[in-house]
Amino acid sequence: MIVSSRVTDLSPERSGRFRARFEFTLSDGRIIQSGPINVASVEDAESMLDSLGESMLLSVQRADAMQAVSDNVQVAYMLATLEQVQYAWLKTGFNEEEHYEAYNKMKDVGPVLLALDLTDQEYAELLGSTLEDAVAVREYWAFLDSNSVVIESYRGIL
Amino acid sequence: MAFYYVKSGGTATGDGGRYASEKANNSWATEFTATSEYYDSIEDAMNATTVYVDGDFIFISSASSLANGSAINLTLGTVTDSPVMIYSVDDSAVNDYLAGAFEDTTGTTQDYSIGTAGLIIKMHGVTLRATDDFNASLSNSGFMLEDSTLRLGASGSRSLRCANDGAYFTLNNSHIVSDVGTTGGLLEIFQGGVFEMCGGSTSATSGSLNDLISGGGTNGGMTVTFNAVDLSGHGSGTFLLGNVGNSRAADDAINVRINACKLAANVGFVEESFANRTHKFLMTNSSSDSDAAEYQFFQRTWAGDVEDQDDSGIHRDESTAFDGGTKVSIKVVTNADCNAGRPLIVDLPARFAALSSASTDTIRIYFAQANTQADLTDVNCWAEVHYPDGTNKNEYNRVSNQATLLTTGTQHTDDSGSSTWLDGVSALTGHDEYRMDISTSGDVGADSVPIIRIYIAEPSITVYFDTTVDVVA
Repeated sequence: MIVSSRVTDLSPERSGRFRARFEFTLSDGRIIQSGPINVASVEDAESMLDSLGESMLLSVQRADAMQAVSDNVQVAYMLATLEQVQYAWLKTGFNEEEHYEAYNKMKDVGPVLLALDLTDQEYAELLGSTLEDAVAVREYWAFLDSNSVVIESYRGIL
Repeated sequence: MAFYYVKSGGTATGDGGRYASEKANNSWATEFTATSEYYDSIEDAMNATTVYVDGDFIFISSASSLANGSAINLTLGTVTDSPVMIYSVDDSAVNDYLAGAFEDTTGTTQDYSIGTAGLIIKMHGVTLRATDDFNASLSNSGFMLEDSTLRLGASGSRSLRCANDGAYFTLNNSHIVSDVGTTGGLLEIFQGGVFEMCGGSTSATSGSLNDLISGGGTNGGMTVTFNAVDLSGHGSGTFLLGNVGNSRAADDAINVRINACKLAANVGFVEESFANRTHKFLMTNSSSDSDAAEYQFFQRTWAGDVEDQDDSGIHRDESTAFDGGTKVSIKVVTNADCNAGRPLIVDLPARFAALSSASTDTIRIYFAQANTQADLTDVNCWAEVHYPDGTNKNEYNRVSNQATLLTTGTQHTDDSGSSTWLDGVSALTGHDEYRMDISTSGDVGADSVPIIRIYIAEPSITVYFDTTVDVVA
């Protein structure tokens, strides 16, 4: 999904090191810039392109997934995979302070993911989250789901 | 005023470890003849029958070493106006301050948390260890730590968390130590949480530290400040601010300020570009290099970056060197989204720009950019000067050289005949060299150092500003 990458700037420093900037072109045409990062040499900067590109792409996908939530989309969106979008819905719900709002955000995606019956580690890998986050989100959804009748009844009085 | 005494191994319940007056200043063994006379943990003391009130103290022995076996959740029946005051005291003289008390959740993935909204805990000289997170996750609750240490006993992601309205950590002369390294970052601050650290360090006794701040910023945003902290434990492949910023949909206010901190040479500053006006990362006087500390500057906003450039690169030879002998320019790099509606704004870290009440002043700013870029005019590059009024010093005047809105503007004055710009030691070529003047003649100011705010409204350009700003008649 990264179609090209390059080092765009190497500013010298008195220390003998350089401040490097990087540019990544994505498959949908977007150009993402990164840096500055202090590097020892030109070769050092070039060698960082792959690992930096990987983390930059992940950042873009996460942002795209959050945009999907904002745009009320529940399928793969822009460069975000279906699983990343689903995780964004869960995480957005998880961060809601009100259980009712959290339930609304999580109720479509939660059951679909739980039906996969994966281990927490497998969920974390599927969703691209840390194990800790995966556990926290799953546990919170389980709590909401177990109280769904009360929460749904609340909807009736709003 | 009451005193609650704590030492691991204590068995006091109810008010068994609570005293209406301070103990005599003897050793713990002398003052307490039975374990039932003191509490096992801070948590137990805060659950005493007679609830801690303002003016009380919790004294924990410097020899206390709690292995709790489960999560620790500090609660209080009635929240006090002032913080709950907890001091580590000398096991040999129970009224004397001595750092050394230790509380560990132990167990697997156990949190050390505040469990009452609005509860503020202030600890002196205590080391806390959690096998999972430290949480200030209830609204307006906070940890205030002095001369203390937070130890992370598990490689969980984002191990210090502020996760509710106005929750906070403040660490003064304290340390964050990871016993196992971190996998996903050290801090996660969101929902309006605040983290502030002055002095101390972050480090790992085993493994390595990942990002300093990772994620967060959602549901109300984050405010994070580091002053004079040794952050050099965050090395290659890590970021001071990672995994947050490029989503306007998710990332709310980001306000990160780092000043006078020691860094590793190869740490990244900010991983993501920023997507909103409320996102700002500003770092000053922070470096891996002794010489660079006096002029280091980095700012990221949604319109691009601003950073120092020492005299190994492009700078103005007439610039006044910093004390260490380095001449420095400020390198402004705008991103593709920068424009008149989304200008890059930076308060120029200018030197020697003092205004005089004795006369009107004209502030002269020097800058250069590659001549292949769009010409710089008073439409796409201008300055504002804010300075105290000569009569009413509590009122600030504002002058600007910005062109009248919606006009085509005028190219800035060529300064190539007066200034000598260099690229390292060689004459700078292929660049336009400019100056711009902003006069205070309309309203004389007081003796002062003005605020000089630069605006760039041109996408994808790089401009170098001299840090020396002249005041001319």
